[in-house]
Amino acid sequence: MGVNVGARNAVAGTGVSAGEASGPIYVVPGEATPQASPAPIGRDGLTAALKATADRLESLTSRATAATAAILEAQRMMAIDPALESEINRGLESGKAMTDAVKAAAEMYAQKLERLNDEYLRERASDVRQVAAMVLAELSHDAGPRLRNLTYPSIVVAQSISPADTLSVDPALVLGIVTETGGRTSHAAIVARELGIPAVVGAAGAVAAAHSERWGHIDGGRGELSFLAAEPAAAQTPARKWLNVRRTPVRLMANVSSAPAARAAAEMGAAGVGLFRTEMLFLGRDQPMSEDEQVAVYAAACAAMAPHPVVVRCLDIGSDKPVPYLPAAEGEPNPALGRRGLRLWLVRDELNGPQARALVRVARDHANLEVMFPMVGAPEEMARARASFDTAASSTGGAVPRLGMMVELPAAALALDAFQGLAEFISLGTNDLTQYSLGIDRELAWEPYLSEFSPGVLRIIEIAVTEARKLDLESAVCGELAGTPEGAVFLTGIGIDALSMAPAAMPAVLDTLVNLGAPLCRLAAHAALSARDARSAKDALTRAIAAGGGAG
Amino acid sequence: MTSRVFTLRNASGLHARPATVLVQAAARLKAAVRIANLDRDPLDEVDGKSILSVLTLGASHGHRIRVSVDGEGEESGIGELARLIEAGLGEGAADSPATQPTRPFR
Repeated sequence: MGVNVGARNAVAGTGVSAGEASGPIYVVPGEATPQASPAPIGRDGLTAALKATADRLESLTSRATAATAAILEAQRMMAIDPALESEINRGLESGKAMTDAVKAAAEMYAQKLERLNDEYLRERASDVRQVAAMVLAELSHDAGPRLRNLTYPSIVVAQSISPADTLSVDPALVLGIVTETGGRTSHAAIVARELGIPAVVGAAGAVAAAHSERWGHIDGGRGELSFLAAEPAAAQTPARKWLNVRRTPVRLMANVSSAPAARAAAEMGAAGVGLFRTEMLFLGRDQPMSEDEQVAVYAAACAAMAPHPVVVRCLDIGSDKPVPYLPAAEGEPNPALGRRGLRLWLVRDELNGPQARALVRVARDHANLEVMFPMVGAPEEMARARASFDTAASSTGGAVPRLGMMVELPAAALALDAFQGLAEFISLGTNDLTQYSLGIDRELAWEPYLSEFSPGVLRIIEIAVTEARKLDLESAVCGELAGTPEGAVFLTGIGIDALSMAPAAMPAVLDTLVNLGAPLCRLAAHAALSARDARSAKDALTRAIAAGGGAG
Repeated sequence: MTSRVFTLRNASGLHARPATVLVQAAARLKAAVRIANLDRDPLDEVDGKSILSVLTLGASHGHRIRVSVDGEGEESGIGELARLIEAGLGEGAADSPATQPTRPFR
């Protein structure tokens, strides 16, 4: 039964992503009341605002998965659509104020799309309204991520949620999503399911109702957002209970992309940040974050999580994520196999210089900072990375933190001894490890027999973890596998030291591991490793979880 | 002016991604491009360089669209658009939006 302590009222909609969460409410600004008309703006100003919106949308594609990038591209083309601009100008000529003309033009197309007998096309009505909102924000000189004031994990309530919104915020800060519009194929539903957080769409009146409320409880299964009279106590909120991580046989850590999320993860009881992604500090921006700005971010994350470790991953991008301020890489035939990850980081001094210097400066004052490098294939790469950090430390008076490597390539997983003395810990990026082992594009959906539970992938993971133990290297997993109950059981069973996952996944993993205990995890892992196919392997783990250990 | 009729064979017709492929190609042509959905309203011809107009055609899998190119380079222009449409506008028969995979953040 949902938690409705002191619930005063509620709004109902369609639940499109299961789960429950309680916490502060964050109403996306600017939609409850119509904006006052900005000062008179000519047609040139309008054209500029449309172009600026298009550019903003384009810059966000560097952070998006393929499906989301397609939506962003459609929105970018809407912003520069000649028909939209003419419709707005027609409105202006007929005497409308700029705000009204923009809204009316978007509304005309939105309603045309809504009348179509096709759910997917109807969802695009939200897209054009969001574009109009971005154009208006641009005209009011208030453009920028709508969720930029979200600094604490909250339930986000909005008219609609666009890729531009979710790509500009650390996902760890979103407890749940409630939108007034949209259906099962809306962006809100898609991204909530990706993140494993509750979502309710089509909740008419949600924005107005939530406007004066501070605390809420979202139930994605029942499709309801109820409002609470007081801050939910930790003990009463199933999704955010305090994690006593000492009860688990492995260290539970969080994957985050921002300092506020690190702070929230610390409050949840996470025993560290196993993956601090730094792409958001570089992508979707006109300029990368400066060295000083990076220092502030890393230091804040370390301070929030102390004394537990914060493992920062150096910038991990490839040619499939174009970056506006870098010279365009030559077209690579296969970006997934191209100059990416550490290979790219090593040759881009304008990126590695400031990042390395920022990290060594923070390491001098924060003993819990650790750094890892993505997509490491050869010991020489780690040696060069170490050298970068040595140089950065001597030029800034900083300290070199513990340096580790991500294990994402079979060649590295199977030859860890070659990295002795160069890597101080390892973290398995199982998403990419699965991709490169099975030769399957991680951005596509595959038959269930091609997955991280495939026998070959499980064996590579087991070999790497076992070898790491022999070499006295701490091992962790920060890929999706760590955040699933079956994956967590398997990894614990083969002797992983730490699991790092999206904060939303932590309670379920904690419960599973506590219930089962290490010995039963070992048995289950052994059964999974003996399986001849992905399904049997996963079933062995699922059965073990269901049978349980009897520990309460 | 040159016109041709095509039957949309790709799974999602002129939805977001295929529509963007078509409109981007049309926008590159010097000639004017107009498109009508013969299975909804043959008289409603829209600007092929406008994504919003093309989306509102509501052209789904199996619908017939008439593409007209008028102006400089219209012959090669219609040929280019024809190639894209017949190749599925970047989408296979099985790739409908309903089955589009979603991959979480790394």
